[in-house]
Amino acid sequence: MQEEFDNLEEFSREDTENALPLGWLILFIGLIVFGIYYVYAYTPAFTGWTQEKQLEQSMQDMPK
Amino acid sequence: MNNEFHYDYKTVQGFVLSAIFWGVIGLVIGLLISAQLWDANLNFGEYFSYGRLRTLHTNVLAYGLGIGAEFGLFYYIVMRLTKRPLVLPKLARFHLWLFNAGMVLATLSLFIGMNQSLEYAEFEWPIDIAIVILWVLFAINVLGNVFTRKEKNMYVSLWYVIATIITVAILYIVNNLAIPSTLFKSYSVFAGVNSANVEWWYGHNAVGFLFTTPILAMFYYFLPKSTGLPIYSHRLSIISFWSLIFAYLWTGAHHLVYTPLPDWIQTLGIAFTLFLIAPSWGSVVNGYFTVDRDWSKMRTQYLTKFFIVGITFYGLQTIQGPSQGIRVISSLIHYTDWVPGHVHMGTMGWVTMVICASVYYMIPAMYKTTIYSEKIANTHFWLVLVGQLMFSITMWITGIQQGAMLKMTAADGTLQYTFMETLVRNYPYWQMRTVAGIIFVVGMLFFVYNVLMTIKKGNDLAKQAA
Repeated sequence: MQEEFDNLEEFSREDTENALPLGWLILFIGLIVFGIYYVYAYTPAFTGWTQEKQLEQSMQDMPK
Repeated sequence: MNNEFHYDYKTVQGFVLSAIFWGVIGLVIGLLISAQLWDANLNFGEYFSYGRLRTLHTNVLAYGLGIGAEFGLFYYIVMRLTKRPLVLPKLARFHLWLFNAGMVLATLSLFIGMNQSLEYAEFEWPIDIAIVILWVLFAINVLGNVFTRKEKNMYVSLWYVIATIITVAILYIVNNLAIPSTLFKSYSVFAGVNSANVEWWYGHNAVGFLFTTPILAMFYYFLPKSTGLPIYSHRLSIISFWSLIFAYLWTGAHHLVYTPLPDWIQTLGIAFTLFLIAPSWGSVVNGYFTVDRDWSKMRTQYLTKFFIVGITFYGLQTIQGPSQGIRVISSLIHYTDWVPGHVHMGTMGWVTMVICASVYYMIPAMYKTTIYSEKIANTHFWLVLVGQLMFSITMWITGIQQGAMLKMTAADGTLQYTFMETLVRNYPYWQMRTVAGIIFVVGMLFFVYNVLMTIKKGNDLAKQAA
């Protein structure tokens, strides 16, 4: 039986050479920046934040 | 420029039929366990109790339906994208038989209660070894084709296939490292918090590399093939691929928020989890922009809506998932029924939607014919969509309710509700979920019927031609 090829040439026509959408690029870079901030803010060695301290705080904040 | 050769489609079809067989078993078990949750009388002895069957449900659907379909569809995609038949077609046929024999043994072993007590890695060590052999056979064929390919360009689907093969191998072997004590019992080499960390590194990435990358491979291949619209941007598809692969493996710790796992590992896991929104949405945007060239395809090509709705639920899933990783949200919804709701939106709304659409495209293409009935396919589409939405929404509601009840405190600072009281409030939602499940399964039966009739139609045509 004869088999037709999957025309990858067809898949990669010129109109598929689109640049990255700007909105998506902002999301991409924004999440990297946020990730760096987040790791800094919630790592005990950098800021002293720990989940134990957070628990103690939430116990104190409870209405007596 | 056509050469005289043919592709081995019998093995591909064998995997699709196997996946359907295991899929129906897994779905029926799913219905039973959903009913067991609100009526304990539906537990019949130890073998048909919730504890046994829940494990069977997840494993039979993930490995039988999911991987079974992926083996078949991957062989098809790989042959066509490398423009050559499989390097070892007989090995692929052996792979098919071994897969089904292994599934029978694996299913029985869970049924009689053999279990190494690691979620999604329940199989005992002899079956683990069989799975590794199975995977190696698969890898030899696929990578053999990639290395000897007749097409220089590597389309993005091939990258996703390769990533799936390599990553699943690493994950599966590491998490299942164990010391056997008898033929049916072994002890994990990891203990305590290390065991938890490795288990969820595995568990989360099993979702990533069984339910995300393989499905994206299908999406990127079958969406352009069935609509005739080339992918919007290859650059975006490749950047999404590499950033997804880079970030995914760091994220498992988000399953262990507020546990004895060191704070910094949790934080790192959450940061990478949030980043995953970007590569995931890269594929979503690429899919939308591809069809954006001609939205009338949604009406004129019946498969378009499967892919677009599928990628939409992938998009929702990849916002919901990372949100759940954030500490404040995790503390509300973790340990509630929100979580099974999340998993099922992915598996019912994205994974099976795209697998079914790919099979709908591939089976007629193999026989050079058309689908048995577009009408039945459309009925299938609407039933699974309604069933899935009903499932997801009921679990959102009851998950938030349960999470809020677990956190509520009385005036004297004690807990307002017992755990049991939160479960009792789940009952009406669990009953609605069973109804949702029935609707979904009926939809899937329409799919099975349609595929079997298309194969019959193809065979009849072949006979006429002979």
